[in-house]
Amino acid sequence: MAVSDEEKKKAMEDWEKLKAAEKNTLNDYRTQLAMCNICAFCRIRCPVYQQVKWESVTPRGKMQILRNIVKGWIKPTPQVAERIFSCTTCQICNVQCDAEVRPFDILKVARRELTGQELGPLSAEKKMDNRIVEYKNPYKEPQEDRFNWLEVEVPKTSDTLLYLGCVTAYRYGETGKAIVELLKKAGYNFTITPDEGCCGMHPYWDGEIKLTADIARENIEIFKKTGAKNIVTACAGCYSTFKNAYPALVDNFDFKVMHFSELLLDLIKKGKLKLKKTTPMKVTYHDPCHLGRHAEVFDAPREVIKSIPGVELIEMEHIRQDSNCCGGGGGYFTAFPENSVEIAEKRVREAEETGAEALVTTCPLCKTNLDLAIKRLDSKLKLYDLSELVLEHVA
Amino acid sequence: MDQKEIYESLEAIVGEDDATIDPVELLAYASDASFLRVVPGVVVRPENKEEVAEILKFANKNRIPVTPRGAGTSYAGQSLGYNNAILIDFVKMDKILEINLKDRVAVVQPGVVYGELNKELRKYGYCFPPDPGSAIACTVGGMVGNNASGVRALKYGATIDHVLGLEMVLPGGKIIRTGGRVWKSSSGYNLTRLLVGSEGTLGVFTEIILKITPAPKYTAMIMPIFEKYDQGLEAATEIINTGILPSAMEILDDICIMVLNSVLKEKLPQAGAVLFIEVDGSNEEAVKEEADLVRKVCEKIGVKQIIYSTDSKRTEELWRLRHSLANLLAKLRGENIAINSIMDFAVPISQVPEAVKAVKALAAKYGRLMATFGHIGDGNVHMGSAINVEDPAQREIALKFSKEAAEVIIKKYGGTLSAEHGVGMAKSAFINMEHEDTLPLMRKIKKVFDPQNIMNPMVMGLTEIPEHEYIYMAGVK
Repeated sequence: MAVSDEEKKKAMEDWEKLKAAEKNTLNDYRTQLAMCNICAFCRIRCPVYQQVKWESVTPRGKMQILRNIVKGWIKPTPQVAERIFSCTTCQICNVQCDAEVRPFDILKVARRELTGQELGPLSAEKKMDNRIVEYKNPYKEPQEDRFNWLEVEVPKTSDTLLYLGCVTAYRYGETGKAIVELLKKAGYNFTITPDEGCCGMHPYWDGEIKLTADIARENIEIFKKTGAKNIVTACAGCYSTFKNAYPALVDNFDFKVMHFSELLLDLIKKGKLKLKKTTPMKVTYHDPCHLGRHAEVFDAPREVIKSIPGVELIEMEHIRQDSNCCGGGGGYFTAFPENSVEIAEKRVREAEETGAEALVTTCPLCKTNLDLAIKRLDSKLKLYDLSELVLEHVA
Repeated sequence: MDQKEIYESLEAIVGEDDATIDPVELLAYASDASFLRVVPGVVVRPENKEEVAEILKFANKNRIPVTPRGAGTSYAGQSLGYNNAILIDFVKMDKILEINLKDRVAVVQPGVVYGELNKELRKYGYCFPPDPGSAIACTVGGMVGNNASGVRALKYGATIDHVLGLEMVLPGGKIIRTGGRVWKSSSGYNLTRLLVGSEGTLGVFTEIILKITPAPKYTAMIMPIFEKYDQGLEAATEIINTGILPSAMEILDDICIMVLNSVLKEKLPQAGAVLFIEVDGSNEEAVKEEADLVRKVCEKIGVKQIIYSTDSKRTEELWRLRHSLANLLAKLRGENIAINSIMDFAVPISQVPEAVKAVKALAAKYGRLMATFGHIGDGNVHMGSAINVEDPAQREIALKFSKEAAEVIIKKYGGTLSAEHGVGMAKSAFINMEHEDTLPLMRKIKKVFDPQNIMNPMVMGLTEIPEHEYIYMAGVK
């Protein structure tokens, strides 16, 4: 037991070493699991808990369940899996945890282990993963229909690959069109590959690591054929998958990854896109968790909005690292659709409280859920992907 | 009755969505922020007082123990469901029923989160001031049950000083009201004050009337850093002696500074003590004058550095840092578990320096890891230690240490076991030391309210006094 000053300093150093050490199994997290103070700081902001209101879905509740598993006191069961997968992967528990337990990191590993033991993912999520394997998209849509909305020619090869992602490609063609039109107007050279398929985000968060790695390898080959060195994504989920998951899963992912909002800001700053004033407008911005907390892209979308003449950005109460989730991530929308939309309704109400006329986001997954919530609430908020808002204001 | 039968009866009261005996769910409710782990028998989430009354009627008839639970942030095991108890989670009774500026009261349900209530009150320029470390997460019901307080108790008092009235369900299901909206009353026994801090042993709150306090217009934060811990103690005493009443005065030792530095971009100098002193008021000049006086005292004692802030955002960040401390200390304990048995004592203000030294000496004797922090201004000190609770030898040492420390605090320095965290199960073994004369009376009071002894029977040493090692992990394995 540490008692001298030296021993206390060593205890601190040991913690720093442990924090930095690579941890791949739940057992590697046994110390962090024991360190959970059960303080409930995570619970207060967990979107799933705030909807479900049972202790077992709180990050601290999950930490207690997982500690019991690591200690061998209980066995993992389907009931355990249901709790662990009750998570939008918003990662706010990591922000809230003063003890730096980083509950989200532990839950990510827990998902993998449960899936490895065939206790996860949940059945609806599993079905979606199977669809992704079979159709290369979650909607069972034919590959040839992926870019039906694309009306302009793009070169077959380029330094930059525009990766639209399944949601934009199949469900938000208008966003895809807006992005393409903006790039064309800016004279930016890019390609789109007709072979584009799912990035693997869904299986990744389902703990299907081997499957995600297979998808990553297949995608890398497709990307290479385009000659691209840079990948620009239209989706926050695809962005965090390329940025964070691929480098961890495969060896040869050598592409520079950008979110479209970052490229857009660059084009505006360089004067390649001129923006004009139209009717004055107040907007608010929703940080997608996978672009914000997962990848720390907070400023680019805001700077783009602020650069539009006549458009005023009014921030919501919870933004950036502290942002509230839309409820749609991590397969939660697939497994718990009703709860998921109810979480989105809260975010829409938060947006309404700003007095803004429009809600802007940079993720088609968030847009899907927020759109449902807006309709259910009969909200007057107009919903934009950032690209659509900018396109309305291009000179 | 077996667990299933109890569940079915409760399900009939609250509905199937609000009662559970799912083992995974029960396990998630087996913890609070103490070192104790106790799996409850059933968890229910009533939505109104009528449901609470039905639950208590049923429990009383069948002699099933009941524990009310807010956010489960308690440090002493008072929100755990011992002996297959019915755990009542108040998450669905979380409404602010009224904020009445003319009467200067707020009426709330017990499940309201303290931070949310204050956010709402601040819109009107008011607050409910005690400010416990768990402010952002704890519930008002839990605070009342526990008589919680925090950094601002020095000037504004503990929860008990702000509760005007209560609606409570008695074990047989009868609903009573104590106090009311009046700010003063000399009429009859003050049952409200008896119930505040009763840790769920007498009944279950369903409505709370709080007096609300104007939020201070101006605040100044002074953070002096001293080379030696004793200088920090001396500064605290001298500041009190000037006659000013800070809204908060906290002391943190060298270990706390080391831990805070692990998350700070701008590190504090490694030193023996840092104080968080806040002065507030409605007159900017007066606040500045008091802040200057505090600074002068610190300079006279030989302060190493002073961090000063009158910017509300910066001050809020500094307080967030202070509130995070108890959690940050987890970094020092690794897989060990924090023992809360003597974590929360208070002694007369003049005795703080000597009492802290005495407990530190005991900690050294028993080899306990000790970080010292707390509300130095009102004599309330937190001293943290941790052990491997799965090791019977360490549990034995922890118990010896806790017992000796409790004796020193109570008998030598005239202190109390718990200034704000409550007795719970964690400290119940020592309660007789502090309340030798009055414990029999307390037990009689408990019997009057709860003749069947169903209300949180294992806390406060009112009936049985559980051994720590028996409670720890009870039912979990």
